[in-house]
Amino acid sequence: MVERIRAAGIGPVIEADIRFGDVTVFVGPQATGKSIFLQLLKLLVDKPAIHRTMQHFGLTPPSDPGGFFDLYFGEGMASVWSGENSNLLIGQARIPTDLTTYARAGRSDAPEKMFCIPAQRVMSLRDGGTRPFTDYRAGDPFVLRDFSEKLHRILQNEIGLDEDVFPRRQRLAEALRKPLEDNIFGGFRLRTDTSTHQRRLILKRDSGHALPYLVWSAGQREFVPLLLGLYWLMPPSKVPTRGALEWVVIEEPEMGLHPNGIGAVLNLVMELLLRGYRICISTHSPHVLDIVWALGFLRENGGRTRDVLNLLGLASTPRTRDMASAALAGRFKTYYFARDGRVRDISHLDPGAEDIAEGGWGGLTEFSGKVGDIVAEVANRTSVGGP
Amino acid sequence: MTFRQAVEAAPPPVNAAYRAGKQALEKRHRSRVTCADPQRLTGSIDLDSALARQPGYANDSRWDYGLGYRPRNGQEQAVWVEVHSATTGEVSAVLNKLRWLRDWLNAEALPLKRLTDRAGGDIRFVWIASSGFNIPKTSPQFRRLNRNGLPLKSRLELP
Repeated sequence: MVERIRAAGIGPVIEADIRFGDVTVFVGPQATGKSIFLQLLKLLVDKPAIHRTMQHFGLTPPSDPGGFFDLYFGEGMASVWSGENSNLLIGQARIPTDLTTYARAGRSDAPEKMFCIPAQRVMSLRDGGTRPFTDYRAGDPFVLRDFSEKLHRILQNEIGLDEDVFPRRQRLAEALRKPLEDNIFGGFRLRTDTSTHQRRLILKRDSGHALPYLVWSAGQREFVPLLLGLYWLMPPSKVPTRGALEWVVIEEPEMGLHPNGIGAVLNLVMELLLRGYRICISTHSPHVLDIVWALGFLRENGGRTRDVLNLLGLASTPRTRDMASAALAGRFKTYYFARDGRVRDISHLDPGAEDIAEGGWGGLTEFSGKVGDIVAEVANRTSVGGP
Repeated sequence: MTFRQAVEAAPPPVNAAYRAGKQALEKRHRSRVTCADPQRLTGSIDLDSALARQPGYANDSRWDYGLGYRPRNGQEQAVWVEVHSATTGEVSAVLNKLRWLRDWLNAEALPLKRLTDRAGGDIRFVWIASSGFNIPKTSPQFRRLNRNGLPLKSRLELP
């Protein structure tokens, strides 16, 4: 298990020292290296499985490492590792790891340990149908192609065999399902339609016409691939995790969703935590950090499971109480990928911290703070009689 | 008029509450208020304690402290500080104290009110979080504070 990564000169990241928690959250502006770092983590954890998948689909990585990085991280990323300026230390190692060695397939048959739900997940559905690995260009990021292939398999071979996709028997406890129904699907059911040659997804009310993919809201289009990914991670059997998977990466779980919908998705993250997965999330949502911050506060101030249930808006059931306990016991870490290329630990998330990176939650509340300061100043311009 | 003169013009017992520098502040609170040049923090009053036994005020939601502050190249002004636990549940209580303070300045202490009106927008009234800043900046309670001209800070650092 990778507990810590110290990295320098990887993509836009100049310096990072990341110690992973049970849940690790990455925040920061666009193009500061969050995605690259998560893909790097996948490569470090899953080198054998990545090379096996590439071979399976007939992808022969070029002999030079740059060519492999182009193939894995995506076209144009050959220079993500520049030999002399890049450095990588895994765990407590004192000897640096040479990332170029990850470009060569080894002999290990170690199973896949990390499942990535990428930010580009909406691309994994086209007109409500799934897209296999081979449906992409060679320069498209591996994590997207790999995710898309898994969605294809789960929809075409597993859950799509009958019509009901969501809600679905033996998938998600009612306490988790209901907030999704209320806040994301708005009374529609997610079903499969086989009237065309390929099984595709539609939204349908019990009475009324089906809504095809392009009529769905942006949030629904973003969420459905995430939901299918979560189905992959939560097998209906009594086994809590799938295969040998230990890690889950979810990029921007909030994408396109109203805060109530984000809350419903975060409940699923807590379910993953209860199942024993280690989770990494990247986010631009202050709502996500609200929850992380509040859980930290509850942990340090004698918060109880019922407080967590209130926080998450969950009904009290034996399962949700277990989830709440797992959330209270979990170690949460938050890192800020700054524009200057340095990654900073802001796990305390103290809103009053003098360090603006921490006090402004990596820029996610900085704007609200600035708005507040200006409003307070204008409110105070009047005489003491005041507003 | 100086802050000291304005305090001494207030009705008793506040008129005797003036202390030099930050001495009116409880010791544990003094480190939460700083000034680039301590000489420009001219004086202070513990308004809460001064009025604690005063008939008509004893049961009020009283404000904590007033400070005299002379900005660089500026006239002396009054800055009002409440040191209070910063949780969303306390927002209404602190806003009640602010309302009380404004009423008191308008009704009882016009010289101090005039010094307060001189102060810049973001340092006229300040809530300093006594232990932990537990109001998210995205929360409606945080916005309500700012709407009422009461910024919440971990400490007050006067320029």
